[in-house]
Amino acid sequence: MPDAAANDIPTEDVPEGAAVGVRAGQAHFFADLDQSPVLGAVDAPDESSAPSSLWRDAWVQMRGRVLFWVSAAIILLVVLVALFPGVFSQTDPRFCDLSRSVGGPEAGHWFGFDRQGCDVYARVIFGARASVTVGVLTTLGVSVFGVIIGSLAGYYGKWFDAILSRITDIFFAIPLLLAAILVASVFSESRTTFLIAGVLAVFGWPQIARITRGAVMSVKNNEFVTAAQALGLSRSGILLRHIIPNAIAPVIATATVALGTFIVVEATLSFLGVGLPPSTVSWGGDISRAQAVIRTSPQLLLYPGAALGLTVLGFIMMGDVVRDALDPKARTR
Amino acid sequence: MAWYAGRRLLQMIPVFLGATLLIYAMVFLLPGDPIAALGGERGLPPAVAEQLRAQYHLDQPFLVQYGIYLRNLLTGDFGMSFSRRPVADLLAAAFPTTVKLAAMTLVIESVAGIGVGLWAGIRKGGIFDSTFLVISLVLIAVPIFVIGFAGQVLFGVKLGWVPATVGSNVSFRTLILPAIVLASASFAYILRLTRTTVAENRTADHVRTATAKGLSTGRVMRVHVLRNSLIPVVTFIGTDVGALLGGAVVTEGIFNIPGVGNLLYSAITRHEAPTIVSVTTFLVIVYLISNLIVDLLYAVLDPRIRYA
Amino acid sequence: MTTDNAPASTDPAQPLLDVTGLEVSFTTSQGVVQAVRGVDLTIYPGQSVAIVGESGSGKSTLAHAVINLLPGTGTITGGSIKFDGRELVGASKKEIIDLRGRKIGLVPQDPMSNLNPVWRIGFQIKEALKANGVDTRRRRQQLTDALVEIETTPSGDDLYLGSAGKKELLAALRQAGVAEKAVEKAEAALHVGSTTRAQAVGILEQAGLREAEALAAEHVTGASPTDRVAGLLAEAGLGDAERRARQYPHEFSGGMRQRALIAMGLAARPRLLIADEPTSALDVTVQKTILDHLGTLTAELGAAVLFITHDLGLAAERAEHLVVMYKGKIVESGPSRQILRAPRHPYTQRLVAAAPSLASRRIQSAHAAGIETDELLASHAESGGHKHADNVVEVKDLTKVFRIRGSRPGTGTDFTAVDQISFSVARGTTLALVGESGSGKSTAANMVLGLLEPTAGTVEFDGVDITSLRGKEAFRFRRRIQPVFQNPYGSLDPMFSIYRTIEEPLRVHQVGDAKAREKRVRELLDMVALPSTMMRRFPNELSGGQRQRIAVARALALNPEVIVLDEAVSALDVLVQAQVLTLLNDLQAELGLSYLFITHDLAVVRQIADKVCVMQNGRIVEQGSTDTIFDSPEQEYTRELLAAIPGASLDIGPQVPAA
Repeated sequence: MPDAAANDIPTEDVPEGAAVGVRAGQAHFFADLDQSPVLGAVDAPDESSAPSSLWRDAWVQMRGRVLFWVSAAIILLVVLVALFPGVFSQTDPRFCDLSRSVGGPEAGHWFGFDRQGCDVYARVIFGARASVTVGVLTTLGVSVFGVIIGSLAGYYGKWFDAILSRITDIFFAIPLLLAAILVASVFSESRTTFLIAGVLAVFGWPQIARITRGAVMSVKNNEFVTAAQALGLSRSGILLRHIIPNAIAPVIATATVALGTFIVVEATLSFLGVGLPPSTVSWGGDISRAQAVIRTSPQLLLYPGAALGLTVLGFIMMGDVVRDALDPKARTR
Repeated sequence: MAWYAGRRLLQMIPVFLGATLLIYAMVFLLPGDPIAALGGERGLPPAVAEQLRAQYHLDQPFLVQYGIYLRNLLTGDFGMSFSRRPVADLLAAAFPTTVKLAAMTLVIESVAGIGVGLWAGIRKGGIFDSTFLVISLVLIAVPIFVIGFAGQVLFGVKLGWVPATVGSNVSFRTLILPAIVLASASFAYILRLTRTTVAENRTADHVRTATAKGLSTGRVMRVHVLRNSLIPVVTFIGTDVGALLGGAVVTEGIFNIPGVGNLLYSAITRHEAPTIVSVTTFLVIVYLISNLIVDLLYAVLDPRIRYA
Repeated sequence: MTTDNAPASTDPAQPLLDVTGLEVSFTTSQGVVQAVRGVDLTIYPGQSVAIVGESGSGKSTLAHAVINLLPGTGTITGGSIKFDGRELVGASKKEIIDLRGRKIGLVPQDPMSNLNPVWRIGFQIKEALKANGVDTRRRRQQLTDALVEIETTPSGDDLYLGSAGKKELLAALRQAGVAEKAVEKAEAALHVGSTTRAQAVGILEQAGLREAEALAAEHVTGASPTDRVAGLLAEAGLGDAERRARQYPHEFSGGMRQRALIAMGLAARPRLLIADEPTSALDVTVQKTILDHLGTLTAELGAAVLFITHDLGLAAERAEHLVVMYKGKIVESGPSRQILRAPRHPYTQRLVAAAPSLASRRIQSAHAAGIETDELLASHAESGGHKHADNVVEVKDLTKVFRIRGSRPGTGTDFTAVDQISFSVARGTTLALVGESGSGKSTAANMVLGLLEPTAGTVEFDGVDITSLRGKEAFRFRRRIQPVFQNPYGSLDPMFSIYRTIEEPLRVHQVGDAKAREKRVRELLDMVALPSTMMRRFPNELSGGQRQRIAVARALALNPEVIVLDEAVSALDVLVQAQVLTLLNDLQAELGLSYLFITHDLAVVRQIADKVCVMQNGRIVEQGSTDTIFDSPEQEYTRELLAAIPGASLDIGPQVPAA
């Protein structure tokens, strides 16, 4: 053992600084007090920086990224268009003149006309509302439902979790698009934006539920939860005050991306003819109708397609930025 | 391992029952006359309506109906289409084409996705990484039917490199464009997943230890970084197999490929609700089975699961 | 036993590693951070040197710079690193890869995260052998070739016993009519892939075989890589090595993993082994056996060892030369004993004074010499038992059984985490519950806190059985006993500001109005010596020690009588730990608090506890006053625990060395 060797080194009666038995470069050395770091009080709090919560840190991190501002601008624009389409186009998207079928761009009709002779620009502007409505409503639905189911399953565990998880599995086993096609084709009469959003929400919540469950399960093992129990805080109080606020970050990121996905699914349904009825102006429906003349007038596909792509891009980019900003692994310490 | 497989199989039973019950209930427990609803806007020919009533045993209590439906499913009876052909026969004819398309798509998306993802993960934050990150976002954002039509017009019509539609002529040459279109979104997901896990694993403690053992950089990358990163990636690819076999409804529709997806696509356009129900049920079963295989694969790849 | 065929300069007078003026910096979003600033370090062949420092001192960065494994943006910005006379700063990638494993081995810090979970242990060690050209079979061929050329017998030291050879040797033993008991003994002594021919001869002779030499020459003819892996694991002290090599990391305990990592680090017989906190994640007794083993092994192989550690006692005990780092600089270095006896730099002096292992040694020395020492925080240790007749907590036959679900149906088993333990905490004193991981000490603490329902037994608080409390009474009981937990990063809700964190107990129990509560929060912050401006900050802005002080403030908010300290100072750096311990002691004196102190660290117990209960496998194996336990332990296990305190073998005086 090395300590046997250590004992061989004479230390007792060695005068200060002498190197008897000590090899070159290993003599007793101590840093010059003038040059060594100043010793402050042990563990003194650093009061120089401004206080910052996790949310504030996330915000500081997000606002430094270009992608954040780009996606925020896209989302803001799309939401404004969806809320006040009249501001962006004075033309009635449902006013069609067959004589102008597939007409090219002209003053006041920058994108030209579609097969029925309706103004393409107006239809792109007025189509935003359907997509955004379905996306927002569905996301609200799945978030509320998914967070409730997921946090109950994750927090209470045991048989309660077993049952809720099996139910989640069942809904998860049916692919979202297939489920929507199935239900929508049965409801041939009454397909409104609300119905489509409802159908998507009914089959879209398992993803959020699974993520919430995982996050809740990892948060609930923290010692601050045990400390809250020891304070006498009730189970539901702990769940609401301590666990959900700490578990919500990945849910927000996922939900933002999911909003984009729901818009795509709605458009796909409309494209297949089982989404919103032809009477509702929607990008998916317009793309579907453009299909017939795609070889001659591909621009009819391009405009609603680009609007749809840009909108979805805005939301998934935002989801990405939010995830990076809230990711605990990205943090130092 | 055997116990794990057995447990997974057992867990699948309630999910299978639940999913089929859910599908059945969605169609037949909704208010109104289900047969009339199945007929859609145009209504059903009386003969078909009669046949449907007999097929679904609508005079029986709901659970009995479901029992008969389940028994039929298990014996491979998926009912009749409006053209009075067994849906099972239609599926059997269409499935091989779908498998071909799925296989091609899978190869394209995994090779490209893992390759690019690995490179981006190693050089995280570089130009290559940033470029492909933006490309992947666009591929995810633009719906497949827009990519499909764009590809069809550009490569099929304008450039004429490949046939614009497939039809009855199913071959590698005709399927390559649809396969690329179909692979685009999953390519983006695989790329992003690989990139993240590779970047994460590269800084893992055990990778540093492997380097300290004196292994070459290439071996550290292959044996320790890539091998570990593949676990979630393979899981994702496996889930995607289910979705691909589940028929690329839109892609097969656009390119007129005679696969399962197209069967569903034409049933939708013809408003043949009973066929839609049957095909959807079949697809959900395929999806469930492939998910089971993914779970087993996961256990093969990750020893921690196997012995858990 | 070396398999390294490169000519090694074995001149003990030449430094093996010579670091001069090393500078390492990291680029962060806040700018360039200097982690190592002008460090000099010399290690001679076969020597053991330890770098001691707190977290963030740059000690690990220095070690990683030596084998060019700096994480992220870390780069060497100045100075030189010479290994065996060769400059490593600016060396080619190939040179560095050649060096790693073969010349410089690494035993990393955390055994849980340093093995690849998807590969078998054996595979991961074999990989190290192959990468460094240690192919045992080829080696044998080379030897045979050499034999033909120069016609000398190889020294038996170069060949290992193979698994086939072992079977044949045992068969030969049985054939020779050796008694079965002696054969079994030989079987245990013969390690495949590790026992050399010369050793085999010795073992065979001991078993009573006469023609041992010839037999060994015939059957000990070299090991396959797989056998060698088993041999390396056996050398690292792992039993049943051949089977273990086929297992995955998750099937290993922490101690076993660390042994596998040691086998890996030493696989290619490096001349320098860097051991980065090799045992800090392990139980104390395991820590001791592994360090002992590592010391013997490296001494046998003639390898130099560079220990990286935060524990001054451990460093002084295991290394002949000490290097103390603080904020990236070496503040003091020299022969270990000289530094312990006469530290010159104020920082080293603080460390020597604060290190619990050293402090507990000094208390023991002082106690033996009959000297009063102010290091003994628990000042009433002697009279504790008699003066405080009333016990605030009284635990009787407390038992907790958990049902463990098996991997297969019907394979569930009962696990008795706490087995009929009884103890009591006298008012105003500290009772320490000491044990290693899995001893049931935290389970016991949770039952005392009323967070876990006991399977049997009672916990009486001031004469009232708390397990019988329901509803309002149970809620009111919460005010009287509060916990402080181990992990400073997990014990505060990151979403709550410091103000909300400390105010929460008051709000939950509806104490006072908003204004009164704010006043109380200020008062509590003052008690734990933090400025009231901290109120608006969040846990992520605080250091570990500060968070722990906030946790103490939260526990004190409701004026409890008892505080359960569950490893409350274990995760803290030495100086911070000493500060929190002093704070706890002052609070006890001021407020008359009683502590139930749960810990694995006997050294800390020496300083703070009045009474000690030693737990093992759910039972209390020994209890008594701190002095009795430390002076005359009755149980073997207690003696083992005491011996495992780092620095137990050091001979240091009763006084803190004066500046």
